Amino acid sequence: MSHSVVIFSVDKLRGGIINDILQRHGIKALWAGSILDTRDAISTHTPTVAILDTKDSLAGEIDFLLNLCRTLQGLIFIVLGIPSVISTFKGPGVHAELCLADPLDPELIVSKVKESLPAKNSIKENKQDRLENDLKQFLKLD
Amino acid sequence: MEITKDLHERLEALKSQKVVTADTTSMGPDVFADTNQQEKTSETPEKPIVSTEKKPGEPADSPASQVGLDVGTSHIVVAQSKGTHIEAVKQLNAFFTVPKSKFAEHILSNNKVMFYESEGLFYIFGYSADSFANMFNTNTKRPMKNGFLSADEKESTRIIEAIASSVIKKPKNFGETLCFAIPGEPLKGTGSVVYHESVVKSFLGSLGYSPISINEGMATCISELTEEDYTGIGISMGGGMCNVCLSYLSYPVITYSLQIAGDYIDSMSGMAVGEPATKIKSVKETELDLAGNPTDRISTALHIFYDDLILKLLASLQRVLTSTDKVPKISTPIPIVLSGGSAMPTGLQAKFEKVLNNTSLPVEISSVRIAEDPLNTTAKGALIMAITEAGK
Repeated sequence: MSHSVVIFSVDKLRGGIINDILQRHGIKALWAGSILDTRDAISTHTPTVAILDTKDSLAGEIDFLLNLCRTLQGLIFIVLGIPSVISTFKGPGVHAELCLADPLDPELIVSKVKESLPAKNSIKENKQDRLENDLKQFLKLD
Repeated sequence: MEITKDLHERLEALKSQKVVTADTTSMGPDVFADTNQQEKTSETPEKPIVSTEKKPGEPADSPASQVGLDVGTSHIVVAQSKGTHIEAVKQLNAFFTVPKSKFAEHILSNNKVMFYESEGLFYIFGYSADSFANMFNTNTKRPMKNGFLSADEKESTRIIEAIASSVIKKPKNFGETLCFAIPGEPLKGTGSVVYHESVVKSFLGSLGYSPISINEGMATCISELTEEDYTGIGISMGGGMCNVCLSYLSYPVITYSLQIAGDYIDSMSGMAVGEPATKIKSVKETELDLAGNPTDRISTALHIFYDDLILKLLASLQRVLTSTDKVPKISTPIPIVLSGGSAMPTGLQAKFEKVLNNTSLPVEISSVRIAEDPLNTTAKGALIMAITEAGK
């Protein structure tokens, strides 16, 4: 089963709550408790959104997450945690409005994910349309 | 990596279980239901609890399905799903010792009293201990103190094992899921949850169960907050301690315990008016009405110490909730549910609401209510968790 959202959180409760509330809103989500599982989940499921909960993460884990944001620019990242940590998440893959400081606000996360999913889908559709157009032009079908 | 099975869906299937008290004789032929029957009944919207006390000489049950176990300071309660109802069997978590002698052994055996022998003493346990203590005009002892295995009693582990064995035997199916309630970490005071949990788990494992634990406050939330998506605050007010849990969508976000509860009210009131705690307890359980004005010295003392307990509970809740970053933003007001023997007196709900109105909490409270069957709430919550876990 493919998942639209992959959640990274070392906190079982926070990860579980985010996963649960997304599922309740009909969004297929998958929670991963370690960075290795997160990496595997992203490569297996090619999600639209990755939620990175930095709460209680180690410095090495945060470095990994920062690197993930820089590398996977096609993915929409929602970053959670304390302001001093989430402020370090800067770059092309990270949008300020998707960096949500504690306390954990499950309803806000749901709304941000919902906002992100159609946008991403329409980007996908646009990409597909463009590809189709490119192919049509190439094959001179018009 | 695997997603946790949807606990909520399973809990939903088990929600709405009504509480009724009845005698063992009224249980009917469907008492000994098999697992299939239990699966069927999990779909029943209204499933009553039939609550009984373990009688002396009555053999322990060998469960054929999942078990919920409340190991409380004053009682041990076993809950099982049986056909059309949940059966809750209660045993007194107390003991009494008499010197070993042929005569005493003869008397105890003839009266089907539960006991064992250790180092020249007969340890009489369960409800039988209460009868013997009354006979000798003294008090029973407890293997647990303030919610944990008592460090004062060197036989505490063995006594707990004996008492638990008097209400449950080995399961019919090896590896049956049993969920038992454990206290939360005390805010102040002593007691190791890890030690307590490990000792109980080890014993239950040796009986052939697959034991899992649930926080006692969380068990209250699981049992009572189905309509609120398991979001709210559950407070189990027992004998030795009060267990508090803030649950959000069935996740125990905050759990802790206060080592004051019913016993504290009894002993403090007793000290204040110069009466034994047992007498105070009896008045509390039979006559106390917190809704009206106190009528005598004992009820005055009970009113005062109930106020004191509620104040301490809400002050602790305020302190814990304002000092943590664990609580998620909750958009709607949440309920508080009170369970346990100390939540039984008439008028407690109104008294609690009155103190709550003068307490500023960082979460909005929608209502305060008493659990449907306060004495069996923890065991029921543990049973629901056991069934949920077994279904995974």
